[in-house]
Amino acid sequence: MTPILYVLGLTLTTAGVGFLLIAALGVWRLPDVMSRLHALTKADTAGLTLIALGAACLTGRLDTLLALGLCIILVGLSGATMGHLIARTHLSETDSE
Amino acid sequence: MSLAFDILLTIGIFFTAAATLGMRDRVGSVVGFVVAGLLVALSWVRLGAPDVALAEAAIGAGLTGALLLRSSGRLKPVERLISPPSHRFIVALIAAAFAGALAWAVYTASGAALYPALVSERLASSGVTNPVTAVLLNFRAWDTLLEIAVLFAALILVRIVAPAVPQPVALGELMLPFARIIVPMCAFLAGHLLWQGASVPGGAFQAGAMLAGGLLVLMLGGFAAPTPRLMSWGAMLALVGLAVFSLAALGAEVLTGTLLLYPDGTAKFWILGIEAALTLSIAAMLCLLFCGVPRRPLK
Amino acid sequence: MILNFLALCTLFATLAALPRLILGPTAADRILAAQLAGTGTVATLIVLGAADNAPAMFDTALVFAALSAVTGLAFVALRRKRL
Repeated sequence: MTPILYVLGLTLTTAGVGFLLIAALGVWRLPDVMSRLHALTKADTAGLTLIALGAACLTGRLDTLLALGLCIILVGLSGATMGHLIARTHLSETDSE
Repeated sequence: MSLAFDILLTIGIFFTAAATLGMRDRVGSVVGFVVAGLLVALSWVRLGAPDVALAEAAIGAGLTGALLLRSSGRLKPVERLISPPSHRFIVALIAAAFAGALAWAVYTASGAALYPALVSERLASSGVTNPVTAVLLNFRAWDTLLEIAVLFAALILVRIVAPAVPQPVALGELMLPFARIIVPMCAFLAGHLLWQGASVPGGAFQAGAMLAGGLLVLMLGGFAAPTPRLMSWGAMLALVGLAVFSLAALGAEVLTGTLLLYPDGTAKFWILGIEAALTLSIAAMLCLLFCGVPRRPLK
Repeated sequence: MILNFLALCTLFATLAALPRLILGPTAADRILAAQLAGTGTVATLIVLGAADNAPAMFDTALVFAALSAVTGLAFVALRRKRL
């Protein structure tokens, strides 16, 4: 595994973990459900994509790219859809009060 | 650094479990249960048991969470604490004593474990290279057969109780593209887990739970309403697993004289056939446990 | 090593969903805490797989990702309709 690939992988993974931590902070401290949903979807899409790409660079093998690519697609898609559905649920509950 | 990880994970599991038990809101308790299941699955990975982690995540966290949610919707809201604090204190004391006894037993256990050496001796002749699959479907196949029978008994109980079919909330137009990607991916992952269970962590139970998850997405998204016809197909599929396994057991007895002793050299095909039937059957059984089995009205 | 420290950070992010789970005044808060925990677990597994150089862990992460999608959907779809 070349040093360039190692450094690139480490940078990507660190950036992804940073996104994840900031999103966790947002979920904890933001004042409203809608703003927390904003923070959460950033973790799902940007955070996990960077972590998965970094991990692919770190292992240096091409066949891990399939599993990690599917991970990215699955978590990104389900995170975005869940954000929409949770917001929809919340709105329907607060509207009927 | 790994020690810090394990300690943080342990504290997290305890804390989540305490929060789950102490919460008044029922939905909150179920969410806490799911999060605790995820953390426990992570701890299984740390203990070097990825098969158990997969099963815990799929069945323990995912499907059991859905089942609990479905039932909690039919109960009255929590009004007040049911038991007085003194009762809870005694129960906490008993639980702590049990945990302490367990910790003491693990701490004072001596000698090497016998089982891994025995399994690795016979692994080459078992037809697969994953020791967990070899134990589940070759060395202790009788136990697995009885487990499937237990699942089937649970299904019969559900049929007797005959709960109402769950009515999912209408979720809008985004569900169709979502389901179009998730459901085939779940089916693909189920087949992948089934096939690779011979050499790396995977196997029939995890694949069946994955497939059940995909079918649950169909049901919850409103695409496959549980009509009686569909559910009777599901019931037949649930029977298939137990039937195939029992037939394989009897067939092995006919061929080699001992129950569930696969003929030499063909163990791999027997195991794969039984696992394929088990996957479909477990998926059907878990889905039927979720949506209830139809009862024909008495004439 | 740095990767083990990163795994600790992702675990911390996963556990940071707990305050929202306990406090969250509405049910939507608790559901999104579960979603964060699911994503955090997937991330932890991926980082652990990269740290131990065990690509088998990535398959486990994929299964966790699929099941967290199913669980989230169950939470949203089985809400009791307020009449």
